[in-house]
Amino acid sequence: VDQVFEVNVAPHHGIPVVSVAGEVDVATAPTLRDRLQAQVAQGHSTLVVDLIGVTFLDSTALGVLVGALKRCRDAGGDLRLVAREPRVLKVFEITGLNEVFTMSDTVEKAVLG
Amino acid sequence: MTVFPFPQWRRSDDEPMPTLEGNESVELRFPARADRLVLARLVTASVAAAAGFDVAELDDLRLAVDELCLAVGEEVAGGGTLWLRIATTGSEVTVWCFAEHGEYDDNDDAPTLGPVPGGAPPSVTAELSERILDALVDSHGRSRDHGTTTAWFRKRRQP
Repeated sequence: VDQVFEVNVAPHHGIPVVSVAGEVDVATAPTLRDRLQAQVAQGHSTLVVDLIGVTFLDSTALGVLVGALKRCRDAGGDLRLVAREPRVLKVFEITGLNEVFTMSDTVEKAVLG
Repeated sequence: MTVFPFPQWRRSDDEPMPTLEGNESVELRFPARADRLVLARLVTASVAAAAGFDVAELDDLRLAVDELCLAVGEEVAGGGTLWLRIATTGSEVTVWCFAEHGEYDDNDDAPTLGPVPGGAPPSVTAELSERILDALVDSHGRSRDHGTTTAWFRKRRQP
């Protein structure tokens, strides 16, 4: 089981791409929240969150993403997700959040919107 | 008397909380801290793997037990113990979780159990947790007795 959690931010065509790896649960979600809030506070209203490296995602992680989505949309932007791992996609599908987020299977598609 | 403290909490069915009924079980007792939840996931998956659940089902169980612990862990966010009991029969796994105040103090910087401040409202996170359990297990529920909530689920192995 991969328990390494990591968050990195790098710009792609002017849009911050927040790359997440490892398990996102109640212990690690606050770190993700802080990184997302920092980007919005710096004036970035549109973010891409790359979840390709995520091995586990629970309701607290989803709550953080929903909160960040609201912040982005309130600022006139969007929060786009990148995911292609079946077990991660399944969590969005069973909660209906795949209909709420803009989801792509590559960072490039997400950045281009 | 059985009480479900959250009106939005929909049970999968009207099944009463299962009992051990003499089945072998594994018990885990750990501090109700966010950074210890991984133990619940690891142990549950290990027990279910030994019972023949496949990889996809183990993924489901890891997430389901995480949500189960979150559901009761909020009761002891200030410090306490989570008790987990995992029982398997030939074709299904049943997991119970309840929290107990005291013994372990949450006196460090580890995040507490429950919704993360600054995320979605707690009611939204609870609804997401409910949808996850509805989808991943065959039945689940909560019962409250003597001031303690026990949450449980049951999942059958695919034939």
